[in-house]
Amino acid sequence: MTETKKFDFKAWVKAHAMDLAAYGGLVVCIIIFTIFPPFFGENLWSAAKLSTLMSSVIVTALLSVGAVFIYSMGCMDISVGGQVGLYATIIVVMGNKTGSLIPGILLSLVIALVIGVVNGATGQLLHIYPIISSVVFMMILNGLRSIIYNGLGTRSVTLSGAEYRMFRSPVLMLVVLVVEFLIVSFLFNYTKLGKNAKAIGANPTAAEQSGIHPILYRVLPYLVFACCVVAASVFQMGYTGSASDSTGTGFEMNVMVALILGGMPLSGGMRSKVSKAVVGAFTFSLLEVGLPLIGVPSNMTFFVKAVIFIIVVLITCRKQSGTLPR
Amino acid sequence: MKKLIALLMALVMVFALCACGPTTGPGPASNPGSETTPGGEQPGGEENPPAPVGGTIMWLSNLTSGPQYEAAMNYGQYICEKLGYTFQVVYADGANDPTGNLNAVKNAMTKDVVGIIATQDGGIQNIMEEYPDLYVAGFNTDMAAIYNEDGPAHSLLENDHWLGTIVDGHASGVDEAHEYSKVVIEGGYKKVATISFPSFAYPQHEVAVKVFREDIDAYNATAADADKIEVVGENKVLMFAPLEESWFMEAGNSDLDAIVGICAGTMFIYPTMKQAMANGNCSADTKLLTGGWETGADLLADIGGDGVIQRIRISPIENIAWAIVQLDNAIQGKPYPDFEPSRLDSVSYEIDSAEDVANIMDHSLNGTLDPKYSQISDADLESVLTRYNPDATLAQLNALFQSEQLTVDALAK
Repeated sequence: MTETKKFDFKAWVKAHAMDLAAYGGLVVCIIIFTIFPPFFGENLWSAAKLSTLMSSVIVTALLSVGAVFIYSMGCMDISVGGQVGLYATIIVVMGNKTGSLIPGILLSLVIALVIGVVNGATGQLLHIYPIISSVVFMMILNGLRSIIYNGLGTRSVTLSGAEYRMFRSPVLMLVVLVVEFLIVSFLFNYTKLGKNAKAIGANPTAAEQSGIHPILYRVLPYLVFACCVVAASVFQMGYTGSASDSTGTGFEMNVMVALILGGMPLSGGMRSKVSKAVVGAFTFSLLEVGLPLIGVPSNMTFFVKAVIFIIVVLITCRKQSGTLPR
Repeated sequence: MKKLIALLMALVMVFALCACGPTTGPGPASNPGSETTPGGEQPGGEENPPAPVGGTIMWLSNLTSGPQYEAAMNYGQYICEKLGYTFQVVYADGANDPTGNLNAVKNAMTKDVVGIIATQDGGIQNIMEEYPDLYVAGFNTDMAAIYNEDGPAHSLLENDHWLGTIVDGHASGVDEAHEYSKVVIEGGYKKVATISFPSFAYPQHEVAVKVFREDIDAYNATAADADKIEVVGENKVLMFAPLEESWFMEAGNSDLDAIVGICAGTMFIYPTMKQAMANGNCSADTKLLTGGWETGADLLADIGGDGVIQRIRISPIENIAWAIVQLDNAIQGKPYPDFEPSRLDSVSYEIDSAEDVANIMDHSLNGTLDPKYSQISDADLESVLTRYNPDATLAQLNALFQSEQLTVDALAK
């Protein structure tokens, strides 16, 4: 006789409480920003606001989805803002020179892959925290941007030689986000690439001793992330058809906040999920777009977002031991 | 599960708190005639009631704090309330990034916004493209993106929703240079150096430095040897960070008569200068000629007389009314007969004595932050608003905002 195992709802809820809290944060935001704005004559679900939401979320979401690979290893890449700024500049400048966006995108991709290789490999080769090499790149890229804009004699460049308005389409944004999400989810959940990344995040020593190549499987996730950074840079540039010496500033923090809001453990490991990046990015952007709709003045939104952020972190980021992640 | 419930309850409480905040939605137009104007005649008194209007005027501000921000907020709210609008501030990108500015406007946009006051030009074309029905006017910005022939938004000069801008100081570096060279020559300074922001961010600063040197060269050509002025070294470019004290150790910089700070020198030069003086790296007799308004007690006490700061040039914060008047005329559908999207230099608000400081702190909008001390009275505004005075012209508006009435000297009278 086979024994039928009874589904234990309570145990399931306990096991998924943190996921539920993170998803619940998004759901609560959606409910609140659906119910209250009509009292203020506003509507989150209007075409204009949905478009604003999509354009607000797209860059952070594309970056965050890719960053899941990096964070799952317990690493961080804080050169991402500098990278987005440089790639957006390259795409605009080369677009104006060649009349096409392709050369700029390809050059950006090459640079991104090189940076990815260096960021991924140096940690293991030089026995330093990978974040250190990303700090170095952040400084190099910011300096490079400063030199470029000094040379150009301006603080921003505008694309006039190529068409970019297609990247402002919310539909295209959604399609690209879904495609990236599916690809990264597949790589993360169904290939050795993702499984090894999580294993490295959970216990690097055990991962290495179980045969996972210590350099290769640290570099490959950075290459996946590099592709996502370039995709995000294209949409960042395409939003206004321009780039400036401050484009990308603070994006590394946006990614971190989005991942934390989504319930992603900063220490990496097996609890890492791609969906958390999307949930966090949408929660983050919903707050940006939704708070003004319920009458919160701009100078108060930082405060309200901070309160919500700390609540979500306290609930979603605790480990079983009750401590916050490193 | 308890945590989930705690999260839900906390969020509900936060949002309930927010929902109790000030409503920005369209409501019945306030009745200006029902309120007492502290400092003068009310716009649209009982004999001339204003047309019913409403909605929000959004200020895309480059400032987030400080006395000039507070003064502009208070005065903007005051005028908008009188005219039946809600005044809402939105913070522009700190580095004038086009995407950052567009995002700031889009995220804060509500249905009742009827006009935008922009203090930055980054992404201005994208903002106006996104919201083609909204009128936009500039305040404290030269709007180089629009007015420079090769600017990315130059085509907006043909857009009838672009209403013009009032500049913080001079749009041209030439005029600014002439002002500084006049002060240096008349002040009898013999050894000076210049400091500015980078040309990629402020192209007019590079022009100002060049023209300043030309002015001094022209003066030296006819001056007696004893009266000649030396401009020491190359221009120092500040990358939006305070001057380093080591600059005073460079050849010729330790015993300058004056530093010409073509930038916000009260914030970026003065603190380092005082530190260098205390450390013996800068002569105690070196003076600072610059711009930027700070209200720290020590700084204010150091202006004029034997103080370190001998001249500060700022723009009167009343200038925000220029933009609001332009917006109101357009929103009311009553444009000036001579309307054109003009770019107006601000009148010079020059502070060079302790008496000026006292007058400003006690009797001006910049100092008190109180709209009742505005140097533009409500009657003045009424005279240039076409809803009250259908015969008003742009020339009158510009003349008002360039009149002696808006100078520091007028406070003394």
